[in-house]
Amino acid sequence: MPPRVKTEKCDGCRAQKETLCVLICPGDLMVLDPASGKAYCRSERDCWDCMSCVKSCPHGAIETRLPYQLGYYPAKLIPLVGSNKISWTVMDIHGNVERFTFKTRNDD
Amino acid sequence: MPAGIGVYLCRCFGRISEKVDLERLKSKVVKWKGVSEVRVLTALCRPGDLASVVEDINAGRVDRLVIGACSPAIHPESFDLLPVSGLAADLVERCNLREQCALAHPGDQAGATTQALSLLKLGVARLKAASGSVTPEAAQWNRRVLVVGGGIAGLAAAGNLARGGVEVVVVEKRPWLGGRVAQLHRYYPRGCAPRCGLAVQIERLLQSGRVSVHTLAQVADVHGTAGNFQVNIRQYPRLVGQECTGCGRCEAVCPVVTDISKGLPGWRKAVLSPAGAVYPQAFAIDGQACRGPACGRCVEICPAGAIDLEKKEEKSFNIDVAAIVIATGTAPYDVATLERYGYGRLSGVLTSMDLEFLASPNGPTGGRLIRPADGRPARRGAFIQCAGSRDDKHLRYCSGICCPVTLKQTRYIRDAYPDAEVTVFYMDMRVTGHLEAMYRQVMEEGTVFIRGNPLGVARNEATDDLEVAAADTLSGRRVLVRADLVVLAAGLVPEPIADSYRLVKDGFGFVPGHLPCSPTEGRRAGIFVAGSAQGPMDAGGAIQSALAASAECLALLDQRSALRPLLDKTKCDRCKRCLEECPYGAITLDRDGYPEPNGTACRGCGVCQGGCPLRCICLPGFSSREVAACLEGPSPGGEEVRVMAFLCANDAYRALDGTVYPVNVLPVAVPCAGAVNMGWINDALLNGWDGVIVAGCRPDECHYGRGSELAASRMAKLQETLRSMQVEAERVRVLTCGIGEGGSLAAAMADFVRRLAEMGPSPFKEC
Amino acid sequence: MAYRDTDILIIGAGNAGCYAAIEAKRQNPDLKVTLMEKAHIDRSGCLAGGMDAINTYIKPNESVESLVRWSRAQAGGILREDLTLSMAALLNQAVEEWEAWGLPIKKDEDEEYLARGRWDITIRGSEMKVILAEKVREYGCEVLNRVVTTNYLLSGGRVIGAMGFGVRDGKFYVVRAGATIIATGGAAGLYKPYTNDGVDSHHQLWYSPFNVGTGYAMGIRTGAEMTSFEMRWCAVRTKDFNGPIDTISVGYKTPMINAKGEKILSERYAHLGGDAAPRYIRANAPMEEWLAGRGPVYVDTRHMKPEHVRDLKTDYLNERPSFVLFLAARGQDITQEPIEVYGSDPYIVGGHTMSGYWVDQNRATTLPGLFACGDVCGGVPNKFVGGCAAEGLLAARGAVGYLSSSGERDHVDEGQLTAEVERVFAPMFRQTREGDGVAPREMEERMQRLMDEYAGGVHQFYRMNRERLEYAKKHLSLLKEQTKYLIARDLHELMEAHEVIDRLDVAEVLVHHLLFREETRWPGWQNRVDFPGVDEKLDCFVNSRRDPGTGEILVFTRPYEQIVPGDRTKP
Repeated sequence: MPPRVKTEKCDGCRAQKETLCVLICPGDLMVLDPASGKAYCRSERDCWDCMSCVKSCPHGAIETRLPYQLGYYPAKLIPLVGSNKISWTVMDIHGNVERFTFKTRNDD
Repeated sequence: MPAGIGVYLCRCFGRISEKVDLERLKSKVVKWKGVSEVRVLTALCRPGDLASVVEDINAGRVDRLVIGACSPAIHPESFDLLPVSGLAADLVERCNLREQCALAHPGDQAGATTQALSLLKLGVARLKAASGSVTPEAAQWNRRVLVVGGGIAGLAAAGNLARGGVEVVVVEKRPWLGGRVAQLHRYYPRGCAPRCGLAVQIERLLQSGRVSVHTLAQVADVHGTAGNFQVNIRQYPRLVGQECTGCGRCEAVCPVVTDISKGLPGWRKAVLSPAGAVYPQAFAIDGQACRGPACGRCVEICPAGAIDLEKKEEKSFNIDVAAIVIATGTAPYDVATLERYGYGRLSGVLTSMDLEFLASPNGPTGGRLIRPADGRPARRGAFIQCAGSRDDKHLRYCSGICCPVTLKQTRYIRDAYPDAEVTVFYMDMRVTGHLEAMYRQVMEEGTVFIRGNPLGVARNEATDDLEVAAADTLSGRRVLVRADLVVLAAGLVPEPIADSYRLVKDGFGFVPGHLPCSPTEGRRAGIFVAGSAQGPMDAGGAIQSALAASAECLALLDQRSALRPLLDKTKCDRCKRCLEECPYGAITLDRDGYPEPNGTACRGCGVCQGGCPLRCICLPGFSSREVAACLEGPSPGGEEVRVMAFLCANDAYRALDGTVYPVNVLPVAVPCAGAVNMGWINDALLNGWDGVIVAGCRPDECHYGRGSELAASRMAKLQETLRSMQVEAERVRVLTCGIGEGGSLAAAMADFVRRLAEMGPSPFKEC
Repeated sequence: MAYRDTDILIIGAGNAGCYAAIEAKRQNPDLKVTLMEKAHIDRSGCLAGGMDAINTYIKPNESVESLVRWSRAQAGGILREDLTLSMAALLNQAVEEWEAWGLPIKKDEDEEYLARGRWDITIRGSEMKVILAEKVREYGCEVLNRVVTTNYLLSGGRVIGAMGFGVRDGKFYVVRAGATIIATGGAAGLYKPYTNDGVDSHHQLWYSPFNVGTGYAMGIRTGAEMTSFEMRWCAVRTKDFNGPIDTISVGYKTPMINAKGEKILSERYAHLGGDAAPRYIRANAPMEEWLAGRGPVYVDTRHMKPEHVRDLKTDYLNERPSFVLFLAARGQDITQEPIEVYGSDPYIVGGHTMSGYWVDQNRATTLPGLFACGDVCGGVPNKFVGGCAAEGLLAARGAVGYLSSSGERDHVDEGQLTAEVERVFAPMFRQTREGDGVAPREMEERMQRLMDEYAGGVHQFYRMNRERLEYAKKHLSLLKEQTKYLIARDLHELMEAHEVIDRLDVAEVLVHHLLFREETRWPGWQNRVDFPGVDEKLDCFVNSRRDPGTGEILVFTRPYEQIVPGDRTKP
């Protein structure tokens, strides 16, 4: 059921026309709801879980889930995005936590 | 060898060199790439030592400096080397090796030296990335200012600006200039007529040749930023043309009578007379009340043919202005909401403004103080102070002027009736300064002051008197005072100011400004607020406030500023968050939708850089490279707790000077807590820092308005992300403090370091 | 209508398109270069999630010839040797440039690229597309994001630009160009993927589900010559997740085993190279095991050391991060439970096999004025990311060269524009006028099941025969006629409508190719159960061209041309 927007964290990128997730989604799947001023995914079954939206959200308000076809609940995969590094935290359904940090860009 | 960075370490007569191993620092720094000169000097503030620095610059050995010495708060002017060496300010980095290093870690020379090294590293990195091309720009604007409101404040501001060579456009929603002051009978304390002062103000305006006045006009829309506002003005039909000679025959024949306040019929007609107003001396017609061409009596009678009731179109026009002064003033509180006083229900109950009008020769009775409804002489007057003020259910504040106004008005009654009986019911008489004398005199004149908030006003059926019942709190007795007129001293409420200005208002709708930094600028660069729109004040205060606003406005027009955030368009996604979050409205959009920062409106708070999700806009000194240098972390797996602290330059950074705080903390000054980008914190954590502090002012004390508040909300979201990643959210914290609270800030830091030690090393360290 | 003139138009701002844009500007900075991209350049195409390896880098001990020999053998002996040589010559340059722009590449102690496989190096490509997009902007290219290209702009048989619509602004875009480069990638979603049901997992594909073959379709409609569509890319992929496994099983030495623990490839396909067997063997093997009742099939990760498991997961986090979530959501410790694999749904992709436009060495297609690069360009299998980048450089040079020899810009015929506006917005007009018809999703699901059952999809273990293919052909033709009933209720759905229209054009040509090649040269990629052997006469290219007027698809062969000597079936 990807991706989930945590509405208490989403501020609609200050409710301008396109939020950052709307801007970036390769499938044109994210939409800004003008009524709530927050973003949502218009068709979760069409998500490819590339996680571009998750990485682009400055508030970490989006979380990717897997369709239940593929995996059980409640595993998590959360990135912390830096300017040239990224760290991923994985939590499996048994509560085990793993972290992976690596460079995403060479220094200038 | 080409010129490079010169690093100058000050012994400060031993104060620094005794606690920090400067020679060791020198031996390390001299090996850094880009550093061409490292010296240890006795005291950099001494002319001799400073001269050797200048010598290095002039000889071409160094072209930018790191000064490792006392806090930047000390000797700020000493290192302005521009006059002697041509070195611009942004090519000099001051590293605080004394207050926040040598003196802050007693007994830990090794720790202080390591910290000093980090501070120097940061300074050097900043200089490497500095372009040195930030030159002050003079504002290139049209010198035109819009003044909204033609009352006493608006007139004073407009007049002063015009005399300062500025072109002024005055927009006034009523048919005439003068505002509420024009409706006053007398000023206190001298008792002179406001009309003369107003006439002087208006004459100044018109004689300057630089002022255009639009009455019956209001601002419909505002776009833009300081230096470049586009304003749309809507003008309502006057229905009376310039041919009007002011004879008044139209008013005489007008059949429509409108109430201006309940219980006082017959005071207004659909034809509005300029009586009492100073400019323009022309009639106007209230289009809502007028019956139109079907009636047409005024049209017929007008000898000059000046009335055209068909011309009902509104006009709309646009102007470009560099700044706006808002002088929209106040209105009396609606005392009809005070049921027990019977305003609008009982004849003879008036507000202070009503009494001004009644006493005025232009009023409904020609200035005779009689009860309009039945003509009874108003020999006995009762004044009720704090009518609806200082009341949780009505106005919670004190308007400050109602007491002197009442004192003034007791004399209106006494002048009309030497044997008048005047009573003033009060809670506290607030008559400050020299007005105290007026208070004593009024008491000596025979006015009775009863300390008690009246329980109600009622009409005696038999005598037709008004009766005010109260408890005299000083004597403890209940009193009943009979009066012909009861005057409610109502407080002032601000006229609504459109949200499109995006000004920061207080809880009551006033725009108080931010003392002492910008007393009349409404936290929106280029928009100033003058007069009682700032807060309840009398005419004198309004004029002074207006002159202050015009002075701040003139300063803006002539401003030379070097500050402007830098934008990397190749990274920008045009999300426009910077524009939305800028507390000063200093960012607009260019043709392609990219943010265009306005250098002269920019106050350098850095809220834009703090919020940008792509980190593509930043103030000089905070580019990615410079910030990356701060964050070049401790080596992964390091044992010691390392904390990065971003401290706001106004309060927190200065507060830390002279305290003893943990050496594990590396302090970095930022313009405002709101200038800290959460991406920096991500990078710090990813580079192995155990914790990050953002310290700034309390949200309601923030120098830049909303910086602290934004920092707190951004941090809260980051903390949620960390929690969901099973990382302790307490590793990142926002601390607030005032400039004098360094002790508690240092203590909070010590506590933070202790907690981090308990938590263990950062989970990102082992990766 | 949003009308533009430009010098070089690049359709598709993916990997190849971006390299083409940058190279065009480097060749001549004064040129105006415009990219039309239906998504956003920062994350469009196959690199949206990143990439963990470059699988075509020529190490010092290899050469362009040895690459040709290896690639040729992987492709059952058929590829365009001339094109492969020209691509290989630029492979390393493209990769090294990416590193200079910021892409981290793993190095060994000697600061050389760490070899993960014969041609493979490890990269940390999580943000590589963003890095590339920034460079495109830095070079001053004009990027039209969120513009779906729908057809070429033509003048007397020459391609003089393209037309499309804005999926956010609803405008009709017309871009006239001196030279056009098509770089829209391959086609996914022609076949039904096996985790897809009515509720979720519709796009649980290995390939980008947003690459639908528009570039192929536009060429097909205009009469361009296409090649080798029958060489479908069916890959062995992680079961259910349908994610990458090849590079990992090569990089971490995990042999393929069945439920009995038998090492399938090394035991049953030793003669074809065992675990290094051609990729069509690797796709077919698990399917054979399942059919024979010896499934499930795995790549044996049980021997992996903990640090290798971490490396493997780091690799996945750089390419398809949600695979790590998949393992976590099953609580799967891969040292206890090996990773299960299965065949994917078939894709048409010129970066892995060689389906696509028939081009010359300058990457010029058979349509004058049109150049191709990347997955949309045919003839060179095993290009992968590096090869597509290199091809972008080549196409740009070709286009710039063409530009200098071409004359005045052609006048744009208004009739063509009007006709295309009608065609493009027809589903929306239909929705407004009739309010009734076929939703794009419905038609897509019908097509996907049709292809899966009758044209050798994964549920059919890739098997097909003439009768089924004829059935598919017939119903595809019906579906194409039915496209006039498509409705679109908003711009997103309009894009979906054109995605299904384009896929149908591609599927139709695909089925023609599958019918024509009456042999099974690449079991797994094409299993003709009625022609199970290899036919020597088909040791050549199978190409096709659709007549723009009649719609008739002509399929024919072109002879093989060997340049690098040696047995073509051996590396």
